[in-house]
Amino acid sequence: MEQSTTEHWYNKHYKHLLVLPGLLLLFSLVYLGMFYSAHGDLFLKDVSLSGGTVITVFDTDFTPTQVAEALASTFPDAHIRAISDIRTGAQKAFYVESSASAEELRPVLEALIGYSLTSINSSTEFSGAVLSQQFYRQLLQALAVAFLLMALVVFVIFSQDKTLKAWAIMLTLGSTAALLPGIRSVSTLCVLGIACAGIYGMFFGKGKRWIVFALMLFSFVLPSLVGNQFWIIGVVTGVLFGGYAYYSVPSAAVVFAAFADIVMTLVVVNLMGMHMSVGGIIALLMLIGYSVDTDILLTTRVLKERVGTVNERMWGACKTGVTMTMTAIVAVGISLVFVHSFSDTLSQIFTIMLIGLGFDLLNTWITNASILKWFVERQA
Amino acid sequence: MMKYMTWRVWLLLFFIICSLIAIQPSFSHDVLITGVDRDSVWYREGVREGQVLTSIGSIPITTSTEYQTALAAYPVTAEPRRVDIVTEEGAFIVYTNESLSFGVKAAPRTRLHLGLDLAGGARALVQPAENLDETELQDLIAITRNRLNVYGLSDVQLKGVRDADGQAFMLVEIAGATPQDLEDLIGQQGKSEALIGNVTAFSGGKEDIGGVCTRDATCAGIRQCLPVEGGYACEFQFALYFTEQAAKRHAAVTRPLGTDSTGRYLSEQLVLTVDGVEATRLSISTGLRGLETNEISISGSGTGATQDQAYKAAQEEMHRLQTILLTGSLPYKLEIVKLDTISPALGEDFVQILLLAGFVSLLGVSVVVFLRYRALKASIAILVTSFSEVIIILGAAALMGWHLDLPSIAGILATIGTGVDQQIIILDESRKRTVALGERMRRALFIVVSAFATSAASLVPLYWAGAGLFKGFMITTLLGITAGVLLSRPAFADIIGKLEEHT
Repeated sequence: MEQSTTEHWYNKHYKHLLVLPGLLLLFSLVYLGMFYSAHGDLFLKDVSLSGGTVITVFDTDFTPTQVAEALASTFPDAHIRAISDIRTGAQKAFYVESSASAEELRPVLEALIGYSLTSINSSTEFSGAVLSQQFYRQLLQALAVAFLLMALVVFVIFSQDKTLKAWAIMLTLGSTAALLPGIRSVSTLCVLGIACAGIYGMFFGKGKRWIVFALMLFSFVLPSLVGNQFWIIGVVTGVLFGGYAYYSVPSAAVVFAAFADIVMTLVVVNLMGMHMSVGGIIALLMLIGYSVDTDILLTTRVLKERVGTVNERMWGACKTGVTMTMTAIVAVGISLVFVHSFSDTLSQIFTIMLIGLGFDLLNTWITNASILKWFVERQA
Repeated sequence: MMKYMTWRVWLLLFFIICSLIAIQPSFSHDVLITGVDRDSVWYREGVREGQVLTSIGSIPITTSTEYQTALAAYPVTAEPRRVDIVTEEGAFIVYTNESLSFGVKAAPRTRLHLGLDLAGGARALVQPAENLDETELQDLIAITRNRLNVYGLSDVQLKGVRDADGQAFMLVEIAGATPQDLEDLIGQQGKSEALIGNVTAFSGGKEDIGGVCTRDATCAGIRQCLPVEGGYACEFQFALYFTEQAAKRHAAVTRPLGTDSTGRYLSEQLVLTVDGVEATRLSISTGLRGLETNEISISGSGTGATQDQAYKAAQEEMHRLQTILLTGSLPYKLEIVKLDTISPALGEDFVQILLLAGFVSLLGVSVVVFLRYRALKASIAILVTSFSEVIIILGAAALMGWHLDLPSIAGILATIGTGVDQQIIILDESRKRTVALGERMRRALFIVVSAFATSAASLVPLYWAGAGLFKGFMITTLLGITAGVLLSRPAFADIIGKLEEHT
């Protein structure tokens, strides 16, 4: 009886539930927009993405506070943290991160600690500003390509129309080649993929052949059209995602949930004042994989299973999916506890994943589930 | 037990065994020499990095502690004495008053290689001023390798990499080298020229330089150290042998020169420049005027606050000039755009923590699965399957000679997470009684393969981003999820199927 009341309530209000993630996403996008206008970027970056030096000193005598005080006037941007033993909590080293060069930072540190820094008692990592910014741009491009490819795979899995699949493959591969222009093997593979998809679309699809052919030509020339004009990719992506939403709502719902996971996670990262490193961007990539797992499970169960009502199938998927996310949260949480005092990079990866997994519960089991239920009921 | 052994489980077992063979865990207690000072007597007599130390004198060496005992037994003495060093590669008899000055560590117990961020060493990402094609990049690598070999740096990994824009880089990783070594040898193009009165007498490289005296103390070494203002200065000297062509040019350039005010030297000095900057300036004896000599002596100095520092600076400068003169200039102007020197101090602790984190995570996940399903055998199966995936990743890494760095380890931890997720899907599908077991398993594997495809598609771009510095994450994750989808998850599905059949 209890369950049927809940079910009744859910059937009545599942569309209203979309308001919560919708508002949250709207707030996140507005916040990120404001953040961008204030900082010129979607998040703060550490030296691995903006250029600078990290010196780790294996010294147990100086606390981070003492080092921070000593460096405050010379290197106001310096960020200092201790590395400590997880078992005893005792400090094993401290590290200093600054946009200064190693040659500038090292003498000041040596003067403070009173001995020379060698390759035995310290580690030094230096990244030039130009290189770091280059890597940062490339990582964002990799993230964009990852997202486009993920969306394509989801669309190919859940869409029924062969012509549309061919269209999506051609446009995605054209965009991929444009986003990774310097890699000959990628360009070659993309050209081959576009040609195969074009031929497949023309001979096995139901649409007009000249449209497929025109789209194939457009995808071929897309990389040379784009150059540094990345807004063209933005337009193509908009068309692609619009197409997904129009022709395959379930695919669009999966992509939308993954997008919402990333956007909401970025907002929390910014609210925490975290400086994003290369590891942070890798964590966002990992998040795509983790979040899509549960979405694919939900969509497959709802669309491909023929036993039980939609609610029963969704409830079954929810039990499995929540267990999956809970185990991932446990695995990531435990790893975070272990590496927190030791590695900033891994610590950031696990923190971002933990935040993302939390949002994934919301976006899969409220956003995606409600959209899917809406879609199935309209189909019926 | 045998009731669970389907062909898929056997296949998984086969791959686990192959991976263990590739990893080759051993229980040996070898002690490995990690570094020998190039200017030490030990190096001159043939002791090298990478040799397995067996005994020093009468002290057998099987642990680092025994090496410490040997260290105490052979202090610096006034008179030279005989030291017998036995390694698996050969025995060396050394007469010296020096103490033992080479580093040792316990030999690795597996064939797994740790990356620079865990094992320590220096890494430089070097960008040529112009973008190079593949042939040019390989040429640059060959010439750089030659330069590093001449300098005496061993255990060097040099490879050409490209970033997502197609920009070529050379990645240099050296265990034990200092960043200064790398900056000196790679950061500079090393175009060396000797000018006499603004006319080029000879250039570095094999066209003009027939040889350089490096190891023979009679023609190369530190000649004297003197106190100067603010510290000490030590003078080095080494012999340089010309080719016939350079000897003729030298004669032609010096023939018209007059003498200086002292009457002992020619009116112009020989100015040796490296990359356009004056490295040393030498007076030329009048006896060399117009002479087709095959040998000249190059001298210079190094300074420091103490005599030791000055001596070391002079040695380093001598070594650098010798290398540059012998190998000639690098074909392109280079810039070190990223330079990391990682101490091995915390590497071992870190590996232990990561192993512990992985193990406790798996245990935690098994507890969650047990609480959810109340099925001990299934929970154990999840634990064992996840563990098998980690072994297969490590086996593949050992086979490929892949160096496990921090991104690679993050990838392994990610694989544990996704692997467990997909096993839960299989486990849940298997417990539904509404359709036949085969159909349930097929449906579970459809979800698993779909999830694999999306994960793989989203990982691939990372291969090129950041000049491949982060591809370790992509490689281990892709290895893990591929092993999972092809081997461990089908085997797990079979085990769960058998468990369900018996319940």
